[in-house]
Amino acid sequence: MHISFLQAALIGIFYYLSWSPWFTYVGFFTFNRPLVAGFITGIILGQPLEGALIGAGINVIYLGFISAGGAQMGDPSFAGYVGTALALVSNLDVATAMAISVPLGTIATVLWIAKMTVNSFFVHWADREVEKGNVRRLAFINVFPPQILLFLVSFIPATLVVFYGPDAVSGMLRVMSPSVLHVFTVIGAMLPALGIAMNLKLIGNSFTMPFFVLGVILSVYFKQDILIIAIMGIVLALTVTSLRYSGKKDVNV
Amino acid sequence: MQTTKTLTKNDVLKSWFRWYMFAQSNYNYERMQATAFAHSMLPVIEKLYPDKEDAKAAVQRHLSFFNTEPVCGAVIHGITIAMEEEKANGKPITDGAFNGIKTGLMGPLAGIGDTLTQGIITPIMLAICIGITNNQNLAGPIIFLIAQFAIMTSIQLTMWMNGYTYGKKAVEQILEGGMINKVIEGASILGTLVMGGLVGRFIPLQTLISFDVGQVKFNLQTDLLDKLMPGLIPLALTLIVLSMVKKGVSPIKLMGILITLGAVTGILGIF
Repeated sequence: MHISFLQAALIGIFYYLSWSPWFTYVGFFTFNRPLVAGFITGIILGQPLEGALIGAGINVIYLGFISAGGAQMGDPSFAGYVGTALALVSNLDVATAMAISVPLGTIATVLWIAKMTVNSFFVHWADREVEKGNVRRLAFINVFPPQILLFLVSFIPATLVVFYGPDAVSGMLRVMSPSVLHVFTVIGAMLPALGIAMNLKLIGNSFTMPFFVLGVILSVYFKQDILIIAIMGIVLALTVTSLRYSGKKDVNV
Repeated sequence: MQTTKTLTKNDVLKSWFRWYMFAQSNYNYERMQATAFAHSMLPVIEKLYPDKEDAKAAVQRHLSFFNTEPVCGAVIHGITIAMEEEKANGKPITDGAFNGIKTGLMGPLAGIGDTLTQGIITPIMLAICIGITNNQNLAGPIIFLIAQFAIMTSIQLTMWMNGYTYGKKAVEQILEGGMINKVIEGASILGTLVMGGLVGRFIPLQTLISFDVGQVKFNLQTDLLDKLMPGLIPLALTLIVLSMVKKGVSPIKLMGILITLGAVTGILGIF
């Protein structure tokens, strides 16, 4: 499959939008996630289902992704849009796609740091304008300068990597034997452990961890779908909390 | 005698919409969401302070360092609006009082907000929708999109309006009532169970090791591990990574370790 410049640019635009305010703040919880990124990239490249499947795989690695106080563990959105595009063009399977996306997402953290640093200048600009009494100017400064900057540091790199990347990936694949591809599959199977562990760090404790083991058993031994496991989880959560909190309302536990 | 200045629901909503859109627009290391906070206050300030100098002073007090979780933290904006309304009507509220409320609340609400939105709601919705997608179903990403917009928007709007209506009491209720603990605990149970489900789905590690024992071939995975507990290897791997995360090993370093481990075990034929 060949990727046209227009397709690469469209993917670049969506990557920009995923970090921008134009989808409201909820864009960060939606268009920024590899599941949606993969789906959109798939639509642009004419393979929505394949794109969504690859995005879903990449997203597991970033399941525990938390951006708190401006600190980041990689850029899930870059991994999602660019990783899915490269994987679709080069016909990679999901595990291999996951393995190549992670380094992409990690490198792209640089873009975030650049943006956060340069944006500081706009605050001083706002200070000066307000001092002069141009109060309304603040709205302009909060929106346009940072968005032009964000567009430059996100659209350009994403578009270029999507447009020129496939050659590099296919060159890499040509020299690889099946055993090397097997190694990629193993790496792709190990990386989700990080995303899941990052999330468990937040919600896992001695009380909830047995439910984690139960989840593994339901999935591996009983071969249940996540949806069914989630429904069982809701039932368990309601039962357990109502038992634990019955009769001691308004008490901190 | 001054006439009382009151805000309409529309003014408060206008202000909310600016935060809903542009909360992170100019996120920066120096003052984080400062310009976004002041930007969101503009409709309220212009209505309350017709005098240019008063309006300027109001914008300036909201250009100070501010950083919270934009969804749950929206209660702070609601309170601030209520305070501005009182100040415009003659109550002697100092800049220090505004700053005290804002900086005092932004930390705790960032903690609760990040746990709830990024740590619980989003991963659970993702896990479910990734599961749906994996059954070759495009409803996965679509349901995820719609559900996230509905959930996050309604939480943020509720926080904002309650902050404005009930002021500080609203936050006390959120921070001190037992309700939030109950919600977080219930959601954590659901979350950990679903995370377990993902381990089975996405960490399909099976050892390839086998021995010849006399005439019979002994396969470590099918003949021993599967009989002990299916999914033992993925479970053990996740728990080891978790213990390293808890020890403070950085995620980037852990990625490096996992890639190396995958490469080595893949080459040696362990997996």
